Amino acid sequence: MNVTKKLDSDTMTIFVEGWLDTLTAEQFRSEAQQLEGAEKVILDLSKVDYISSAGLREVVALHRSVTGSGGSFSVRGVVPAVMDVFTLTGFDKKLDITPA
Amino acid sequence: MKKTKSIFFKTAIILALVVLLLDVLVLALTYNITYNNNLELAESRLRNAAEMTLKSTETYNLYDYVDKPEEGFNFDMICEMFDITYVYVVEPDVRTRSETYIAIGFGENASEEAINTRYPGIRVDGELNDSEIEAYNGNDDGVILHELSRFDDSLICYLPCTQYFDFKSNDYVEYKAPLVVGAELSLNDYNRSFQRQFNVITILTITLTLLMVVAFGVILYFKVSHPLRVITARISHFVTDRKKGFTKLKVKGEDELAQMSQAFNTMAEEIDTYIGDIEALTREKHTQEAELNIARRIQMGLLQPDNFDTAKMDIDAYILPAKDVGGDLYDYCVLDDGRIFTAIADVSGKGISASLFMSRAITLLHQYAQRGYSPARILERFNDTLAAQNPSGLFITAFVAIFDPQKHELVYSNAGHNYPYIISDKLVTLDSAHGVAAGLFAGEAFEDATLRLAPGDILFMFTDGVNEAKSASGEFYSTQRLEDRLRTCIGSDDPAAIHVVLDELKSFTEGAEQNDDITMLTMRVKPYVSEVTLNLKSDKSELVRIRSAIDQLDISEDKKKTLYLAAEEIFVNICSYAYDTQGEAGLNITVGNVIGMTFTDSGAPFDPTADVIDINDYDHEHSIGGLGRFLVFSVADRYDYEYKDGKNILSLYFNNEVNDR
Repeated sequence: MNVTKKLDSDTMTIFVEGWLDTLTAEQFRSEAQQLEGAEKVILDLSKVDYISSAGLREVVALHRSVTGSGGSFSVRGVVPAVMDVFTLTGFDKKLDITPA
Repeated sequence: MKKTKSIFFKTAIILALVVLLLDVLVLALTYNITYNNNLELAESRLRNAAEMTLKSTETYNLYDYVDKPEEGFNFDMICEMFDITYVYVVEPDVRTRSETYIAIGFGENASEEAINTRYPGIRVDGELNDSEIEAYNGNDDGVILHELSRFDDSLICYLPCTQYFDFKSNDYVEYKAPLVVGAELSLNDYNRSFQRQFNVITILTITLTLLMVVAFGVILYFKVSHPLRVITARISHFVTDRKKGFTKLKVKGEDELAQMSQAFNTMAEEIDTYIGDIEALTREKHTQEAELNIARRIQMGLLQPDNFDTAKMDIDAYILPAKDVGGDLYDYCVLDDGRIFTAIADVSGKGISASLFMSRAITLLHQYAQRGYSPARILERFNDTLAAQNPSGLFITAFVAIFDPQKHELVYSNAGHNYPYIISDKLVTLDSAHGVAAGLFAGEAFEDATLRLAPGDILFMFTDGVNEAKSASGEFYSTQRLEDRLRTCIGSDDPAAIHVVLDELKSFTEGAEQNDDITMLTMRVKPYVSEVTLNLKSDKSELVRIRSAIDQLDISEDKKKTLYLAAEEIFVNICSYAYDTQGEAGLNITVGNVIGMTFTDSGAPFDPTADVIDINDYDHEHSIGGLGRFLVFSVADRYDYEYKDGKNILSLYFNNEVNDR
């Protein structure tokens, strides 16, 4: 899994590529912690084709930390296989999420 | 050198013996002849003595001097004159076989006994012998007799003496009875003196002979044996001496030895030059071999391992370099996007130049592959780069292929290389996209060909060292044999097509020299499996193995993700909760109309199907646990749990959609 980040004024876009699962969750967390005070965070999952509950937890935790400090958090480019997991767990209704 | 081994010593000994033997023979012969001649002389002397005695005493009445012999004829003088022992005149008495000495003379060798016992007037009984009687009876033949006489073993001559001349009557007067004159030569005496003389001759002869032999030996030694030994020593220490610097033998005269020395000098010079040449050649060869070995090691070091295994495919390689370094190479790697690059190539020529070219080629191929180029593009860049700097005009044939395991697609391009094969349900020759060999003409265009590979298919690549391998009888292994052998791999579960070929190739080439590198490379797409069983440690890192196992299953990619999601969630649960420390878990997946996935662990009893969260009541804002199990039972179509024999057994079932692969 690869994580790249792009900061554009107050908007931080996080690009993830690969699988977001038990084996990569920790790596994702440490990357996502450094947001450099961005108010708006966009998580781009267009290159993620698999997510498990461990990955889901990291996305939710990020959502909480960003919104908890008054920022806005959105997920975009979610592929169908990954979207299924969001839908099954009901997070599609709780998160600002846009399918691919 | 031991003296006894010298042929001259042996010859001298044999010569001495032969000469001595000859000496003895000659001496014996001489002895015999001389003895007999002398004996004859002695015999005539004896007869002359007897006759002389008879003649000389003719004018004497011998009886007159019996009492006063010193006044009569001097018989001793006769002995001396004729060199005999005794001269005497006796009066035989035939009736009594006795005789009376009338006169007697002694030679210088006469025995003492004779001198003392025989004197004129003495009568000796029984001394008269038959020969004397014959003379007495008038036989005047003067025959020489050899008999044991009164004194000795002697030669004797008897003559009758019947009368004397009387000057008073001036007439011959008959003795009243005939007398007998005897002259004797003692043989012992004669022999002794002869022997004495002959001994001197013998000693002289033998001494002379020995002296000659020794002289001959000495001459032989200094003129032949010694020079020969010098030559022999020079020959035996030729190599040792050579290191100290070669000196010629002296050549004196024009005899055989001189010719031999001359021949040795010529030979030594030629050998010296020859050895020098060979030494130089050997040094050069050693250096070359060492360099070739280094080159070969470096070359082999550039190659990837001969076995590579991923979830999607196996790669096997085999290379057997020829004695001279050849220019075969193979390469493979997994590209950044997960595609697999393979290449095989063969540089024209052998030796250091080919091996250097090869190392350049392998680096370029690898580099261009890493850039994500298509096989044709790789070959184009490869060809252009090589052709730009190729002073020795070497070229290289190459086959390059890239396999996309997601799409099961093989793209390949060929630069003058032997056609590889695909072993699927039949044997297919990859004869399209075939261009010119690389390295000579810049700007050549190559084309890509695309082929779909099914699971279990094998791409077999090789160099001409395989089909052109020769048997001991000079026959080629041939593509025909190769294809026949590869056909036996069709439908076989054995992934090692290389070893099938290699086994035959080895027995085919038994006893023949290998002239070219033999290289083979296979890439086999792993066949799908319908069942996997894993024994796992309760450690999250084992998820990698679970993913690989699921990848091999003959199901759609989406289904694999679903299975993996379920497997990950369950396995993470086992890792987190089943054991206090590390334990084990089993995973079995079977594929049919329904896919069955069973997890087994011997941790604390726990029914994961109980108390699954209700997502409608789930507090998305605050809760975060329980989602994993919820996901598992959402994606599984059916599930089942039991605790049996101390084990948690969880079975999940998934409907298998129509295979959309």
